[in-house]
Amino acid sequence: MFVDRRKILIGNIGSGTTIDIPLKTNFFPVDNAELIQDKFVNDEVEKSINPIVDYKKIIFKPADNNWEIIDKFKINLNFYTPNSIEAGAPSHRGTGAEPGVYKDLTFVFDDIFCRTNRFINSFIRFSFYDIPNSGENQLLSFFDIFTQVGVEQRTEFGFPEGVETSPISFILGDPIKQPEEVHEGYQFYWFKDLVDNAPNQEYALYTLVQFNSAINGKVYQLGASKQFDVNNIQLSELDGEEGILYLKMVLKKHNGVYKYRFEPNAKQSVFPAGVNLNPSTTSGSMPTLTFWQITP
Amino acid sequence: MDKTNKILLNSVKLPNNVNVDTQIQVGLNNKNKPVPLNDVDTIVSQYEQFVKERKDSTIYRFYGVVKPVVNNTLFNENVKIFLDENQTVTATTIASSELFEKEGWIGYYESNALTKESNTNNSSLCEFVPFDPGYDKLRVLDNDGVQNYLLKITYPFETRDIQIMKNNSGTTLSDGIPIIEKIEIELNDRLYVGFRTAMNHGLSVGDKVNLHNFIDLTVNNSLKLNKKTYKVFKLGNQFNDQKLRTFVLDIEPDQIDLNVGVSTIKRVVKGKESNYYVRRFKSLTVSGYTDYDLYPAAYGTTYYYDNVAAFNFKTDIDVKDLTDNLGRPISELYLTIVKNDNDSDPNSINTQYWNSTISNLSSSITTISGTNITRFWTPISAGYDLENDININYNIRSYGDPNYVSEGSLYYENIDESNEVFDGDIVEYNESDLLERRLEEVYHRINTIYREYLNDIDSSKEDKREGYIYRPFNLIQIREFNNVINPTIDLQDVIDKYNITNPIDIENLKKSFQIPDYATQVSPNVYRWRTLLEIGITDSSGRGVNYPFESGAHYMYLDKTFYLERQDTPCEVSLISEELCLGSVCDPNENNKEKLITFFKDPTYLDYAFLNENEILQIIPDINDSNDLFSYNGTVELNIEVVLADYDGEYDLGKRDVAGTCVDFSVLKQREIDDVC
Repeated sequence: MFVDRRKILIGNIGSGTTIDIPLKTNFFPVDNAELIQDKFVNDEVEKSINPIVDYKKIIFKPADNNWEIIDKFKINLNFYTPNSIEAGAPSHRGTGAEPGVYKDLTFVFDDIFCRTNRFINSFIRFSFYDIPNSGENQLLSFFDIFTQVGVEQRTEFGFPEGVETSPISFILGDPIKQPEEVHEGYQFYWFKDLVDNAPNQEYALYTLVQFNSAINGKVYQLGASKQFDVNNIQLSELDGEEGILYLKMVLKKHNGVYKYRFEPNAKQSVFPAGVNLNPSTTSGSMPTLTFWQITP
Repeated sequence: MDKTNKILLNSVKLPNNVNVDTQIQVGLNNKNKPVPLNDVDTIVSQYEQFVKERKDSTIYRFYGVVKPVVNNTLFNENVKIFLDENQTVTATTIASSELFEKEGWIGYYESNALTKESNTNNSSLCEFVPFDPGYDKLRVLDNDGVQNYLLKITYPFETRDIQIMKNNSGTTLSDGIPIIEKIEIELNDRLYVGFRTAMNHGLSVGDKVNLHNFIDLTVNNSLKLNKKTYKVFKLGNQFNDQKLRTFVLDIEPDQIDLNVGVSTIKRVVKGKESNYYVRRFKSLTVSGYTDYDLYPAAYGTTYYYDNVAAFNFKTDIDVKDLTDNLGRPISELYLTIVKNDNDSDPNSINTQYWNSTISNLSSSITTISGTNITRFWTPISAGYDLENDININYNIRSYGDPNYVSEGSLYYENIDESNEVFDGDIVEYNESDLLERRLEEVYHRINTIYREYLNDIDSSKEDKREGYIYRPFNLIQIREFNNVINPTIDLQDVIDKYNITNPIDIENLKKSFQIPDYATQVSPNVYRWRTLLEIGITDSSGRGVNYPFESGAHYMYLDKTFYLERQDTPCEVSLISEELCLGSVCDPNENNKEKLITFFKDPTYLDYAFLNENEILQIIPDINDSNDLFSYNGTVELNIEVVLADYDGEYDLGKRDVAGTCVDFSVLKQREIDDVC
């Protein structure tokens, strides 16, 4: 029989010396084929299949601070007046949480009266992010609200107001209870599953608001507060939970009904409040969101 | 063979001298690795995975639209309700000349004359205002924020028996379809017997029926009614009408007779008699109005300009482990629409007005049980659209007819939208067919408290007992049974052959033959059944369902029309004329004048005429307006004929204000809206 013969000097053998003794096998071991087919493969296939994700979206209705549903609300936009910019000291129109007027955006009367493209194609965009930190956050959703010539933009006789007096405001209402109002943007559509499984069934998003002007293609960055120094804007003032740029929106299942509300931070709550969901009961008042232009 | 190593002594090289305690470690290293027999490649099919997930899922999500066809032809009164100068809720009657119909709704147009006497701040000039119950109580989409109907998802879960025909013999629906009339049918110069049924018989020509409790008039009882099965010769009466409720047998009419209320028929298939029963439905949605969102459908209006309502059920419906009334997996669900009674704003002046009108009625009538809430609507009653026969129970169209009331007719009563269980349709099930067939759908019936008890409220007025009816259950076919019945499986042969006695073994045997739990056991351990078709699979006849599967759930789009119908549409019109004499002599107490005013304000008022024109022209030549009549107080008798319409339906349901569209309107006056606004 053939064996490997090797001479090993006894002097070379010390402690721990090993001798390789090759054990040659001339067969292919066959093992576990059935197990592989029946379990391993099935397990791997199972692992490779994505879990079912629930993409069901439902309607969320706007609510006030007490989680009572509001039938309609108003959005005011306030821009730097052209005169103040020209003078080198940009300032917003008015002192409270009132809207600016379309003249501030260089619209002319014919734009409103004739509904020119540059008027009707201008819009506000509400963009929704997961966290309030620019550069790190992810865009989750958005919707647009186009310019309106509603009851506030008309005289008592039904004619459009002049650009000097026509407020940049948008009234959004419930499609059933307020059939005469604009409905786009009133309801929010989001994933039911995410809210149902969120802690306390509350799910937060952060809203960034921009106005897109069809006059010049400019996008105006807006904040729900005018508590900032236009000549010295710091990123830390804009970003984060306490910044003015992002407005927190909370989706909640409340008493079996899905609702959302805006929850302003300290800067967005100070006078003039950017978010006023429970206005006093004086006639004509309604929940209002006011946004101010940030950079001229 | 093992490897041989020669080891030399460390100190001397003598063969017999060996080192003591020298240890040599021999390592056994093997670099071979076991490999599989061949490559293992598996293809994961996205489609197969989709089919598997779809098959496994029992979750359903429903969305769609409801197209309402509703109107207020059964309004309370033709009144305008307003706050007077003292801020008191009051009402003024709108004269018949001011009544209009707009898109099926009856109401009035605000005009200067009307706004002068009242101020509601709600409507503007020339705005159409429907009478109550109006848009806010009847439309599916209602802008007062309070829904007028409740949507539910229900399924048939059990059955019950009812007595369709009044009888003292205890004959019920389970005994078969009751016969109410024998008729003679002449065909090819021969007389055949025809039978009219109280409800849809569900028969086709050639079907076989068993006759129960009929009277054999032949001398030798040659008809053999208890032994013989008869074939349906023809459907319909002599004029081929009433095919759903009349069938003809090849028996001479003078050979057979019936006992009304006791004589019944049952369809027979391959020797098996059908079963007849009422299905009961249970709600799968329990949270009421928060189970779904309701909103206007985009561009959605019906032919009659009613807004189409879109809905989306937020609550998922899981049919796992649910079985129907026959113990089978669920194949049918129902979108159930139930009228509610919390459809009005309690602060509105209209609600306050109607509440005040019924305040003298018993609180058991006017108040929702267990609450202080005042009813506007009667509790829901229910029944079927059956033949008009005094001996029939559950005829919803007869509800409120005093002739039926005095006979003690039965109906389903005190139904509320919050109920979890509802009585439903009448179906036929035959063990040979293994299929249920819907014979009669259930109708719900409502009326306003004011109309229902008008005579109690005002003894000078007649009740208006005609209410609205609607079909609450809308079929959602989620699965279909195969059109082919599985071959009969006879386990008894196997059991006998191998002498199997252990129940567990028998159960395992049943599983090995893939006999489903819902299979019908036609005899001990002999089974028949229809296979429930998988979603996306159709059988040879095209039966089967297919709908989207997404996010682990089945999405079903429902497109349903909701008809709010009149209980008993009056199709007959007759003219009533009444002569009245006006003037200080013949009407000193002005009773006739008051009567005349009442007539002018009645919705059925048509016209008036002077009976003696020559005298009138002499006495008051300028009289040309009804208002002038009201001020007339002369000594000359003024004879007037007033013409009103009288509308009649099949049943005695009191006064009818509006004719059905089946009436020939050419005999009535019509006006264009442009005449007013």
